[in-house]
Amino acid sequence: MKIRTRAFLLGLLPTLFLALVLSAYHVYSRLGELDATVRQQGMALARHLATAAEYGVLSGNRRALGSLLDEALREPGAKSAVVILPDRTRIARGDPHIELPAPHKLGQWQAGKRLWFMHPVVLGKGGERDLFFDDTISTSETLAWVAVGIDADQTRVLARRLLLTSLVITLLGLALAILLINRLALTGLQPLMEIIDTVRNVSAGDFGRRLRVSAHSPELRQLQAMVNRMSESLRSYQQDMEERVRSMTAELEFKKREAEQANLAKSKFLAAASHDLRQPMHAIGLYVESLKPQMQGRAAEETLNKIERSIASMVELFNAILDVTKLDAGVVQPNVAPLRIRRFLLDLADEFAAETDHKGLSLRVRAADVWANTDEILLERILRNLLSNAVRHTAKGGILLAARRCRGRLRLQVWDTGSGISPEHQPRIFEEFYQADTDKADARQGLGLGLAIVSRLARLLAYPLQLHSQPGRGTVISLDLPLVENPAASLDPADAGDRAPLSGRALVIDDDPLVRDALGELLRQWGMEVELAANLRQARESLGNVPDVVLADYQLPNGETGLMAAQDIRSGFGRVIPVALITGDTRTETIRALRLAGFPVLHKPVRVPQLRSLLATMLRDGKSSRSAP
Amino acid sequence: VLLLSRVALAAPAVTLLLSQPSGIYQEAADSLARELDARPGDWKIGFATPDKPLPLDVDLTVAIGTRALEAALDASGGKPVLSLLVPKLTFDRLASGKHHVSALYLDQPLTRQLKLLKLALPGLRQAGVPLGPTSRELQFSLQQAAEESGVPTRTTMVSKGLELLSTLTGLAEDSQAFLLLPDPVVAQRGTLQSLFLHTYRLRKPVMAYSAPLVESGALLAIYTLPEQAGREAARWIAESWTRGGFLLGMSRYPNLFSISVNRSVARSLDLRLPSEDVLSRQLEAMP
Repeated sequence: MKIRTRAFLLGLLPTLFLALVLSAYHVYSRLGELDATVRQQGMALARHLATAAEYGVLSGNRRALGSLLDEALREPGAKSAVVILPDRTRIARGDPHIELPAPHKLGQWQAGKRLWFMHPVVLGKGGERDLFFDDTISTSETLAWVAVGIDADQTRVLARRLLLTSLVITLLGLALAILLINRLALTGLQPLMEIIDTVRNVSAGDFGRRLRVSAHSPELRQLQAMVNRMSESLRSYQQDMEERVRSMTAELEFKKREAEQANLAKSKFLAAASHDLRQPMHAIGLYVESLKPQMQGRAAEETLNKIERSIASMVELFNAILDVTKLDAGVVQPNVAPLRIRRFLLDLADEFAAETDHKGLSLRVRAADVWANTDEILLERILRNLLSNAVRHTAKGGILLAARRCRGRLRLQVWDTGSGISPEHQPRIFEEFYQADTDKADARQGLGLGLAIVSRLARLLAYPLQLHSQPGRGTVISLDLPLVENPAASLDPADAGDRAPLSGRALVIDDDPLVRDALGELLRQWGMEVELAANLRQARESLGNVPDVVLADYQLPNGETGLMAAQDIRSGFGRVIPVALITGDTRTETIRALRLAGFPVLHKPVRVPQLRSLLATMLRDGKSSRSAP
Repeated sequence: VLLLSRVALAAPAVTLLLSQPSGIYQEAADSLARELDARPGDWKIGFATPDKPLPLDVDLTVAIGTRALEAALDASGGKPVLSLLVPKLTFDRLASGKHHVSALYLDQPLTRQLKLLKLALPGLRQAGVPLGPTSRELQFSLQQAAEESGVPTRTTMVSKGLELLSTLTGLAEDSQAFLLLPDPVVAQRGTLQSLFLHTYRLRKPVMAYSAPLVESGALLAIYTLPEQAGREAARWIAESWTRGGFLLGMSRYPNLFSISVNRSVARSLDLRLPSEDVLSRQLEAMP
């Protein structure tokens, strides 16, 4: 209940209670008195009339009696007056048509709406001498009777008037009380209401709101002053806090910018470093490949093979970094198609067979012959990383590659009997550069990017990834793939012979002479005619015949790009010539731009089989498009 | 001494001088004129009031009422005047020594009153009579009447109205009834009620001298009505005229009278009275 209402009721209720109780008591007691008064009055009137009628009765003076009765009727409430003479005759005035009881007793009674009072007319005493002389006078002798009828309604009328008056007085009193409560009590509350209002505003955030110190009561004045002080304190506190928040925000902003700049610098450094390292790596790879035929059968062949393997590892490493960068940039889009899983897994196991044999591990595939909807390349990357990890961390026992139906999906699992991962490491092994067993001196431990790439790819393909591992017992990692029950047709691509010679004319554009020459040499070994150009101008000049395929470095001197070269050549010959771009630039904006241009892209250092496969595809597509009408 | 004067034999002229031309005076005058007309003789009857000059050539002036008597005395010039409806005491005071003036008194002879009282109240041993300043002159007459009637009386003087009730209380000790005589102190209109009420309380009946007094509460009264007075006066005049002249210098009480009894009072006082007629006959039959 509101305090104002409370104060109002506090003022009003006692007044109301008092007014009602007093009124009721007053009315009740007055009614009692009134009744007694009416009865006394009636009896008194009868007595008086009896006394006054004495002479008239004695003298038989009817006129005198009549006027006496008339006189009696003038009394308030008197409605009937009767004299009953000894001979039973009556002298009556008013409304006496009523059965009167035998008039032989003094008394009162009620008949209908009339109160009757009867009194005998007796002969009074003669005089003072009667006190001394016992004469024959009988003072109680009844000469006649008088009866007086009083209107009983008058009590009710008076009671009603009394009630009405009491009610009016009570209401007036209440009205006065309400007026006074409003004027005095509630006006006194006004400062309190203002205080409440102000505190409400302050609590709603309106700090610094002030209140007029206007109360008469010292306590309320103090309260008002204190509310003002509190409001002021809150305001200054708020200002202080805002100032601090502003400075903290500015500081944070500064640090954030710093961090961003550091990150940017790191990205730039990584990109630049990988680009600058890629170029020579790319060239070395191409030279080694071109040396292989020359070293065949010689003693140095084995050394060359080792060089090739080392280069392959380094390429892996670069690719891993590149993968993470690409995946983080969100430029990789899965290309989903049905895949025959069993064969896919067997091929993959073949690739790792040599390595496991070398370590004395068993590698088995247990897979149902089913189809799954997936991106073959991305899935291969996942499984390759998982298998590499398994081989790397397993010293004895074996590795199992399994595929089975599970709740409507296909569950792929890589089991190993390796060292396992302790529970405290499990949540973090999918982070980049995280290595669980750093204490183990394993030269082939890797960068710690494998599982990071796996986790990013699984997220991209929306495959749930699960890890179960017990230290010393082994590890199993599971992936759930969508199943395909009835693939429309076998999409198993024909395995084009790797070693089949390529035929066609290739234009190679690269500003790095080493890379340009190495690539040219390799393409010639694969059976192609090759034109070399260092830049756009040379490319235009060198073009005698239409090339079947163009391999262009993305970054060319003088602000030129491989894209510009591709468009220039296409427009120059007026036809669509297959173009592949090779780049060492790992910046995400570059990758995104190349992807948008719609050309196939190879990243330095280029894996040779990948290059050969791409060339074969481009040449086949080029021929089919040319042979088309 | 009877003085007869025959002024006019043929047509006697009578003037009726009324105190007021209304009420009891007119009643008495009408009765007188009616009775006189019925008598042999050519009566010339004229009416007059004191505020007009009286005709001079009259044989007889009948003055009805005190005021008329005073006027007639002033203007009669020695011619015969008969006074009607004037109490004996008043008449004596106004006309004593005037021989041409005679009266038929308004009041009843005291003896008659006492006799009637005895008739009405056979057990009466003594009557109490309060006398005022006026009626005290009747004290001697009252003693005579008491002796004549055989009803002893006891009188007490009342000088002021306030003394009346205590006087009555005193008289009541040895009187069985009160006799009320005309007196402004004893029987004044304003005190009648308390007077009667007091006598009731004393349980003593009152005998009064007029019908209104009986109505007011007296047990009984004997009186002459104006009509009776007029009638009796007419007879008296006619007889005198027949005998040769108008009566002069002789006054008397009326012979005709009426009696009234208040039955309520009688009942209240537990008295049993004969009827008025019986009382009248008994009274007339008494010696």
